Amino acid sequence: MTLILKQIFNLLKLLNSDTGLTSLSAGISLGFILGMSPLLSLQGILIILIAFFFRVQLGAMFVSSFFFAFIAFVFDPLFHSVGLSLLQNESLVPLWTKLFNMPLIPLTLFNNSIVMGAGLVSLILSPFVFILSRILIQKYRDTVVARFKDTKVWKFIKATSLYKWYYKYDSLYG
Amino acid sequence: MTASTDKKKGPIRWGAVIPALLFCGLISLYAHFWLDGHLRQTMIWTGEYFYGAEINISSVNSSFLNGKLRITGIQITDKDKPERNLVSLGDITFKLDVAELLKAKFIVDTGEIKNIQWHSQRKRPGKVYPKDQSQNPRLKAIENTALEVAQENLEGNALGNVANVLAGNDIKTELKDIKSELKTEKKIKELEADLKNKETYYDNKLKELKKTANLKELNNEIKSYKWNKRDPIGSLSKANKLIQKTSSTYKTYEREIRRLRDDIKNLDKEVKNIDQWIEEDMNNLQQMAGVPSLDPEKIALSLFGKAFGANVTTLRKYSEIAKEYMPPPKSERPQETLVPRKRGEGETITFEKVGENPKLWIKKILVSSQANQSKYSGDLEGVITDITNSPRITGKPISFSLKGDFPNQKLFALDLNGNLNHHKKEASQDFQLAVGSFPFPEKKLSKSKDLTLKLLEQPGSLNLQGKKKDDLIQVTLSSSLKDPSFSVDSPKKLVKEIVTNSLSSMREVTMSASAQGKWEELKWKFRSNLAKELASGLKKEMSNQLKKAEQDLKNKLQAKIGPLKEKYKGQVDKLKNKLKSQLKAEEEKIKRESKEALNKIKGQQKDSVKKNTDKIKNKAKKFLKKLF
Repeated sequence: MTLILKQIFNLLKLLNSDTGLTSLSAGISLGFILGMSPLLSLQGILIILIAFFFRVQLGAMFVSSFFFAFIAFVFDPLFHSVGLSLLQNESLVPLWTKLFNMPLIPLTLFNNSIVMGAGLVSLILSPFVFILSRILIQKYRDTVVARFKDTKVWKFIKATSLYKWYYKYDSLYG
Repeated sequence: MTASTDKKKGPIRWGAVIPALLFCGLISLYAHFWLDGHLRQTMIWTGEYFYGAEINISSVNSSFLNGKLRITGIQITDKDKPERNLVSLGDITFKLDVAELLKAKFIVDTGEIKNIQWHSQRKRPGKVYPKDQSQNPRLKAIENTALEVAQENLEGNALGNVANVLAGNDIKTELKDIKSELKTEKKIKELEADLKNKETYYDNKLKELKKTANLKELNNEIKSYKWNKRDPIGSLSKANKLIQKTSSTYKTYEREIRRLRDDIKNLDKEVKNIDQWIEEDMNNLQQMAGVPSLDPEKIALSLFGKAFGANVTTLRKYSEIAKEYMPPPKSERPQETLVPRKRGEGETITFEKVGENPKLWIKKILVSSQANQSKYSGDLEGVITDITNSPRITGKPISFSLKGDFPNQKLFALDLNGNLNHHKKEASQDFQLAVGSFPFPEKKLSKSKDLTLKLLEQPGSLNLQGKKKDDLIQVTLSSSLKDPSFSVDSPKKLVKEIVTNSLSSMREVTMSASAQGKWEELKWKFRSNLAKELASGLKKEMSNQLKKAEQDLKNKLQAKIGPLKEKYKGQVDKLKNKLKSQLKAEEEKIKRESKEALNKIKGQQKDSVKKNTDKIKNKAKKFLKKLF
């Protein structure tokens, strides 16, 4: 829990800084794939491991995963129909049969219509989510953050000794 | 402020390696120290949730790398007797195929179940949870609708009023009471009244016959017939027509007379009926006078109806449980629609194929148990094969075979076999259970004040078979007791003696029962030779008394019915003779008249033909003379 909270604080910090744009967007993009998947399957664990070992902003991934999981049920009929049409496609049945009888692959639960549909749709859309989040974050920094930094309130806070103390602490232990 | 630190970092988070290793280490530690414990708790919780009573498991040992699962000390509390276990299993071992585990398939080549005990004593009574929390309402309904007939307490009533009869009710007294109820007497009176009607009927028939209007008409026609010299051919054909008419009229009369004679024969039949009624009266009187009458079905039902009914109900219950876990036939599955589903549910399609392993396949489980000091332990050996979620993939039925003895419970030569044939298109299930010897419990057959009769506890043998196909089930049970022992007690010495002697010759008691049809409308049948044997034994013992009673009855019947029968017979004979003589006279008359009429017309015909022939001859002669 501490790790997650720290990552969320980092997310807020990164959002408002000038750096970490790629790791933030990658986190949102992976969180999108994770959030759309209905069950914790092998590919879900794989995504968590990727996010863990690569410099992906985990806070962004967990927050976006939570957000997308919250709205994913709306797309379930779409995922179901896409997944079912793929799984029931006569020409693909030999492939599914082979995959189903291979080691580890059945643990991905690919033979579930929603897992298949959500997985395919989220994989296709993840690059777009990555690009879109990059643009939106950049826009956020250019407009909202820049405007906020110009306000008197922010200048007042920045001038307080408490902020200076926090800044020092963050640069040493953050 | 963070820009300088970020620049130093590459795309890989090397700092995460140690936490990841630590995480893996923790997982390993968990798997080593706590996983088995949690598995044990999960198994207990799941089992109790579905079963509804306390389940204990001593230990669970699992090893993913070796694909091994061992569960020891399983005890399942008997819900009806919580101080005992329904069944306890000493040791279960499964060796899983690790390669198949990676394919999310549970394939067991050989499993073992050791030390099975039924109804063993628990150290402390097990908890039984309220039914509502753990039981399917459908199963509850099945349990509550236990076989009505089996729930009846028929013990002690199966022998009906035999004891009363044996207790010494006087046959003569019974006869006095039944005198006025004789069926024959009543019937003869009815026949006498009817005989008068019949006499009138026959008189009318004869009168009708005598009205020989047609014959008179014919006679007149014959009298008026004359040969026409000018039209000999016409006269000849008319004569022939009259001859034919006379013959047919005679035949008609003859037929009518024959019909009347047949009618008269029925009078004899009614006399014969009197003998039949006398016989029926005799039988009724014998029954009322106390010849034992036993209902074999009722006796069979009292012997084992309750137990058989309860077993069939249990079979139904487990069948319903099994049905819940079996996929319905494709035709019964709901139509696929694009209705929005709950999150995470979707539809899971399996891509199994023949030749590949199904998701779950326990190829063989060896079952063994050895008798020990425990009352409920036994020497048991058996095998369960091909437990699977996809029998069509394996192409084999789920089969089980168990053989053994439970010496402490006096259960010997137990042989249980069964098949769940779900690998075929049309699923079916069957089982056979044979028990060479088991302790048949004591049964009270009569507990009236005059007679207490018990079938004492002794070894019996049984065969139980069951089949289920579609919705139709068939369960049959046959059981027998060799050299049965009875306990007879009666305040009256004679009754005790008669019943004891009649039962002493019985060498075997057989019972059979069957239930057939749909679960909701089963047709039950119960049979036992006990009733027949008992009745024949009693009859034998009571034969002298009965013979005397029969003779008394015959005499009484003769005295009462004999004169009535003779009187009626005399009346019938008189009427019959009268009718016969009248019919004979009538027949002769008609015969004579017909003959006369025929002769007359034939004579006329002959004369006329002769005269004309002579005339033609003379004319021919004259003509020839003139010519030469």
